[in-house]
Amino acid sequence: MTDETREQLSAYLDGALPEAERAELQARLAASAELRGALEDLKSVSSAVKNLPKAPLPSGFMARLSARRARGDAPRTDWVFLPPEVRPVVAAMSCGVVALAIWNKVAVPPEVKPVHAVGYAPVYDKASAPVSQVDLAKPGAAADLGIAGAEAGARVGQQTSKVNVDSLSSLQETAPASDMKRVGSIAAVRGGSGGRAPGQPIDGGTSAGASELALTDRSRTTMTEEERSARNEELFGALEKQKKAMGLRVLPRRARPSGPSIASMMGLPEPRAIPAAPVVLSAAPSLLKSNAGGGPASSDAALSAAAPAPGSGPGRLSPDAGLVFTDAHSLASSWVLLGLPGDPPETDFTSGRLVMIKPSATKILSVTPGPDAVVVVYRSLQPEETSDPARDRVAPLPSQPRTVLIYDASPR
Amino acid sequence: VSEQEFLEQTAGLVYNLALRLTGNRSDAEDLAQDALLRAVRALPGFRGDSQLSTWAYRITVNAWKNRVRAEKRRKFWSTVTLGLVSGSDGEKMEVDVKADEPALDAGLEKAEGAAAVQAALLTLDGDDRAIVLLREIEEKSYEEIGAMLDLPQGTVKSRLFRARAKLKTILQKTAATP
Repeated sequence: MTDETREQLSAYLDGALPEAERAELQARLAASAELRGALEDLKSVSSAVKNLPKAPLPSGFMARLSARRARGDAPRTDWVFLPPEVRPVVAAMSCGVVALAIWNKVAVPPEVKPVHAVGYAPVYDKASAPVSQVDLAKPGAAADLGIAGAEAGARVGQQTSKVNVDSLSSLQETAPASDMKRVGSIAAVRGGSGGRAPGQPIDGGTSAGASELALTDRSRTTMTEEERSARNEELFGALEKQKKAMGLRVLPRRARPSGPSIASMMGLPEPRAIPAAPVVLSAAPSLLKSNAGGGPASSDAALSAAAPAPGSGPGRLSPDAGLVFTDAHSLASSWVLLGLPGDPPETDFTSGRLVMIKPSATKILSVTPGPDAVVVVYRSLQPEETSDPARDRVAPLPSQPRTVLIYDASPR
Repeated sequence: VSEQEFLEQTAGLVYNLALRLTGNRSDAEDLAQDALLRAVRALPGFRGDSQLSTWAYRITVNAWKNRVRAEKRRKFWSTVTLGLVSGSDGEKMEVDVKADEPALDAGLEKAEGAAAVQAALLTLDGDDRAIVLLREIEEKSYEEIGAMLDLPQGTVKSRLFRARAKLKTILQKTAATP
């Protein structure tokens, strides 16, 4: 019996055969016991399904349906392509992309409004700031003025050729070469488009600004220290005045562009800084187990003796030298980030915190809770000493007081 | 017809079809309620060119097919994800979609062999199961079934034949098992 015949039998059972086919099949059925047997099989299957019992509606079905209708529930949608376990990852990545896009948008450095309607100069972050925005009062900052200052001056000079720097003319005659680097930026401002290019010597006489500053080694040898100092003061004052007139401002240290931080945009708590406060150190390391036993205690004692006595400070205050952890996850992450070998020590964070010293080849000498702060003292290891970060650089810390002061007691 | 009348007429039919399609009461109620909610929302647009029950069946079957597709996708992605994580080639992670569908409660099946028939139905793939149920229980014509499932009549005819043949084989094996 072919499949075609069986299919015909199935359709015959349902009364779905055309009249001609039905008549032909009936004739074949009358002649074939096998066909009749196959038809009976199909009938039995059909009736088995037909006879499945009808189930009543579950108790409360209509009430639950009515409740869903009253709530305005939407029918379940099954269109979501990704499985539930993948969706959080995709959602997090999407949020990250959006956050970065927003951050990129809001983090554009603000521009200084035009002053005196002569144009304006953009304000940069410290890393890329031209020298005109660097704190000139900072020691060593003036050394960078030669090149960067000229860049800024040239930039401003392209926008305004009428910036008044005449008052500087007299100052530029006898300035020593080191001072002329500072003057270079002013000269570039005055020179307008003829501003000195970065790296171009200011005494080469090739630019308008530089030609007026033909001051070289002569003043370096002829001026006394007092004269040079006085000259510097004058130049600084004149330069600040010009900067103010041009609308250039000094960015504060670690100034960030205005706008929300990534952490706040992501709804995360802002990183906590370790507060610093003066504290009176009491002696006797108490919590550090590694110091309780023998072994390195003898060398520690010798080095501890080198540290100032309690009450006068246990060493140099090093607020950035340590990390305080309140959960194992942060500890494990930092452990990996710092590239420390092995696993971080097991710590019960339910009863306290943990402090870790960041500089390598160091060792915690003591952890001493005081009335206002916990004092952690560490020192650098001696060349012959071996280091075990899990033993030497971490130590349990009580939960209170919250303030943690970290001192470096290494001998100078 | 009002929404309330529609629900009173079709809720039992829809629930029974859902029960046979899914094979368990909780999924059946979930599916039936979703289908009825969809139907009520679409009721103003019902043109009356088919019986109300046929229209409700169609909505129910479509909702169920969507679920089966979504479940297959979910299983597929789970397999792929697990395979990537575990490094396996995925073959060992293949999951039978129907494996976790429990049979109906024994107390529900009063007719002799009904549980075996329901279990056999669950071995059929989605469209085949729907075709058999719509034909045998709801006594829909090939044309109506084709319209509900968006299938040509010839396809309905051949798939119904293959489904019946498979059911016969399974039921014969079940009967032969002591």
